[in-house]
Amino acid sequence: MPAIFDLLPFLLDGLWVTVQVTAGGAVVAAVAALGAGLGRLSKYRVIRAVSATYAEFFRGTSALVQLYWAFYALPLLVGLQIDALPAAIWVLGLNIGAYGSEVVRGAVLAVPKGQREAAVALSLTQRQCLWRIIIPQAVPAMLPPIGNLLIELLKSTALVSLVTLSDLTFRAKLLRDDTPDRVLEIFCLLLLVYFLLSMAITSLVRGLERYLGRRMDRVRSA
Amino acid sequence: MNEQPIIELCGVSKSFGQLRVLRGIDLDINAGQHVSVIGPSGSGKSTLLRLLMTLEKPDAGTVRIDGDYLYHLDNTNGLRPAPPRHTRQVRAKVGMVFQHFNLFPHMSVLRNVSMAPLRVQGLSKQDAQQRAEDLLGMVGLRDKLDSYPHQLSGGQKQRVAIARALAMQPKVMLFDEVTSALDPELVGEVQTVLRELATSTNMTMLIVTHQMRFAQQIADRVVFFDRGVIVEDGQPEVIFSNPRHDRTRRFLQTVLEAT
Amino acid sequence: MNHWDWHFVWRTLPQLVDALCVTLQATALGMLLAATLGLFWAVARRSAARLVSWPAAAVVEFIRSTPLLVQLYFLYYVFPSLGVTLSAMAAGVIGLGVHYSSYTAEVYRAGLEGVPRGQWEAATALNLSKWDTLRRVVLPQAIPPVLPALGNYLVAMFKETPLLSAITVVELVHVAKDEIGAETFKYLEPLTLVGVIFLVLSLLSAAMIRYVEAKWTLRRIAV
Ligand SMILES: Nc1ncnc2c1ncn2[C@@H]1O[C@H](COP(=O)(O)OP(=O)(O)O)[C@@H](O)[C@H]1O
Ligand SMILES: [Mg+2]
Repeated sequence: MPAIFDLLPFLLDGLWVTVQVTAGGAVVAAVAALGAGLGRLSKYRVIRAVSATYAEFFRGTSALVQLYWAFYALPLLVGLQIDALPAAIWVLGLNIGAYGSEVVRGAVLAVPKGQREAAVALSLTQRQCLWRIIIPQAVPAMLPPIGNLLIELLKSTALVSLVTLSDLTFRAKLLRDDTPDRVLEIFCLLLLVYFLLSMAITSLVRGLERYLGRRMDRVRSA
Repeated sequence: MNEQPIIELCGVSKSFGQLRVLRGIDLDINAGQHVSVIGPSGSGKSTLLRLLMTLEKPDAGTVRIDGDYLYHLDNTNGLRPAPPRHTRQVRAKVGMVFQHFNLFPHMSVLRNVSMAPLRVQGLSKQDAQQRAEDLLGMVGLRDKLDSYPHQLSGGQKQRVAIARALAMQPKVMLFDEVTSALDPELVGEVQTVLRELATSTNMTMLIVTHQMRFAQQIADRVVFFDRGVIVEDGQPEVIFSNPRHDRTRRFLQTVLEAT
Repeated sequence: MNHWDWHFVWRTLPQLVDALCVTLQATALGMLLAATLGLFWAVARRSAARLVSWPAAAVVEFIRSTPLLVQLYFLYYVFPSLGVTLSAMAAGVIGLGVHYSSYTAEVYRAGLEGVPRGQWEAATALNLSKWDTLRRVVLPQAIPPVLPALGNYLVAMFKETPLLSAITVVELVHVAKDEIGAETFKYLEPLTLVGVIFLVLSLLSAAMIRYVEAKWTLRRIAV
């Protein structure tokens, strides 16, 4: 059924929003995950508490509730309208970042204790130890779970269609309103596009894993 | 008689929970001394070394390195706990080699050795690499500069670790059972490097080892440790052939029988 | 500026509590489906017959790679055109269950892989049928260790029930936003309350799972 593809251009008009939210959210999530993941290992109680609160809060409430809250409740609270796109990027990014902080924490804790001790013996500062010794060894272990989280992020971008952003899912709903008799084709196509996007993310992360593969062999066997 | 010891421990105690690992250690070591530390496992030898490297903190007592308090600041009213910066400065005079090498797996051999001089001492890249190459040459690994730790044998890894510690030009080197994790046939090459270091430099060395013959050969002083106290301390010939304490004698008997 | 209105909170609370019942119902039914279907996927994926294992793997992969929201739309808007009309609640429960079966399948798979090969071989030596081996020997060993992980997905699913509001299920978010909010133009109180309800319940259940897990681990060590 080649006819199905005449729907594609209209649907793909939403692709840009989906990609923007995914990419922007990924950046927010990466920063938040690193900050909160390391923050939970900080020697200062305040930083530990703030990081843990952030993570528990965003993991404990639902992403859609957070999105609606930022969209409907927050403007009432602060008295000004917030742009939908940046709001969506922030909310979804912070949401995934909360899960990512667990990944960062786990990977950092998995670096053998002796590495830190060797850094102390060489008089490296804590910052040098973190960025030159610990993080380079933790990153390879983080990659597979990060790949999964990126897919979770992509999937959660469909929620932005519920706050008026014209993403893939939003366009599909418009198409359904226009041509209700083609609803099967529309949603099959939509699922397919999301699936392909997920595959793209998966292969991107796999490529990165391969690229770091040599390094990972080193880390594993040394 | 004005020579000041490079390491001075005074009443140093350390417990892990209920376990009293060090019970009031007093120990002075002069610059250039090569000291073998022997004793049953669990007696606190590693803890002593780790304390000098600031990997553990003493519960009581004072530690001085080259005249400076390691954990304290000296002011007119006595001692008070030192900030981390002070501790960092003082312990820069100490280097350590670990039982399990603890090489950085994501760095080449050259980077492992040159990284700290470059980043901590602020040497130029060229100077840091030159120093690393010289030291790696000294431990017989000039041809392994671009290898990674996982490509090396245990003996080679440990020699890199020695070069890495020496690159920071410490005054005191701590060796904690540096051959215990090695296959028997690789022990010799590491011991040779240590012997050379002992004869060709006047580096102060503290060597924890279970190889009694090596302990005797390399040291000009032997300290026997048991259950957190120093039981006997003296010249190698005396301790190994004619120990004064029964504990020492029995320890040496069991160890020498085993080997 | 809008001020927090406690009177309004107390007035709307009963409505939210009713909606919470719907949310919990959807979670429970969804989990029932996810737990069964996931086991089915996991066993099918381990099948020696490629004709079984390969499609199972593909379907699981596809379900997990596409958004739950779109899957819900599919069930609610597309199925009627195929002659299957589902109520919003039914579509919601099936959507949740099917989507999360792709996660529970992974959990079961880990559990199955944790059972030593020798157990299969011993059962074969006793001439047990494949079905009996699975049911009486392997699954009883595979499932208990992964129950906490399943519990975590139960909590995760609970937190995704708000998506059901998009297909008009009258759960918490729908009531807060489309009923209370749309009527009164007050969104702050109901949406905040919903957030708090989710936070409290998921923290509680996470703590419960950790507690149960710790107890089990202790018991296993004791054995
Ligand atoms: N970080 C620690 N926490 C708890 N106990 C420790 C720790 N480090 C060492 N110990 C205990 O302290 C005792 C002395 O250890 P150690 O100094 O390593 O002895 P040695 O090196 O002489 O074998 C041992 O019983 C050991 O189990
Ligand atoms: Mg030891």
